[in-house]
Amino acid sequence: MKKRIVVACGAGLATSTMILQKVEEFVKELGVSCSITQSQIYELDFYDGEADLFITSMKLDQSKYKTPIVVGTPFLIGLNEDVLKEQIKQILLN
Amino acid sequence: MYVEENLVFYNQRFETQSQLFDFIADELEEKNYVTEQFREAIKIREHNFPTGLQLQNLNVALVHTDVEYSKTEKLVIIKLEKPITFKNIETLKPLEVDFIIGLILKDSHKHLEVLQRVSRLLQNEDIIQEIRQASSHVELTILMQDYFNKKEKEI
Repeated sequence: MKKRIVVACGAGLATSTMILQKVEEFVKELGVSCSITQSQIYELDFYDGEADLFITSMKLDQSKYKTPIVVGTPFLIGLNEDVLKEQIKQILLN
Repeated sequence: MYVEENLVFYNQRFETQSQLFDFIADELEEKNYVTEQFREAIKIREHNFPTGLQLQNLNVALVHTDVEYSKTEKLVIIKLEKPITFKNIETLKPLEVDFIIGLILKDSHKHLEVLQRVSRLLQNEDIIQEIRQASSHVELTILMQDYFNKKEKEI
């Protein structure tokens, strides 16, 4: 089954684009077949429960969402990328 | 040309975030690069969705707003004389920012290219170091123009 990932930031314009570029590279590396959508944070309700993973620029309250959320900022700034990659891997491979 | 000499500012001093945004809006309006609504739109966007990034050795704000307020593709580069308080994009906690990159985005295809370059810059410790060390307008301009204006294959 294809995994569905939504990458979201405030505008769904700049930071999510930068995060998305790195996510695409990483899931390719993982060899997991994914469809990746870009959105604005306040549109996430629409994908909640449907998507397998949300990757956001801002920390969100996980208790408000069914879909697991990770913060994608490490992909923006290049720090702690390994931790983030491990989290994504765990979620997608489970 | 994403980076124009007259949109690179060295040692610019602002007391507040609002002053900074007014300055950026004044410069961009004068060149007819943004619409009248840009000024308010960029302030509101930063308020609702902060853009402060804490890099290893530099705190950067990637200020931007929707494409409908832009008339072109440009970057505004500002090295601040003293830090301005922004909020961290991730934690929303206060962050003292030293360096501003204003993303004036219009065309979605060109977006990808310029955003990819910004993304690489944030992760390139050598360039960050050079930004920190740049000690004049000319130096900062040449550094940024070399990085952003050259062709893809040369990066």
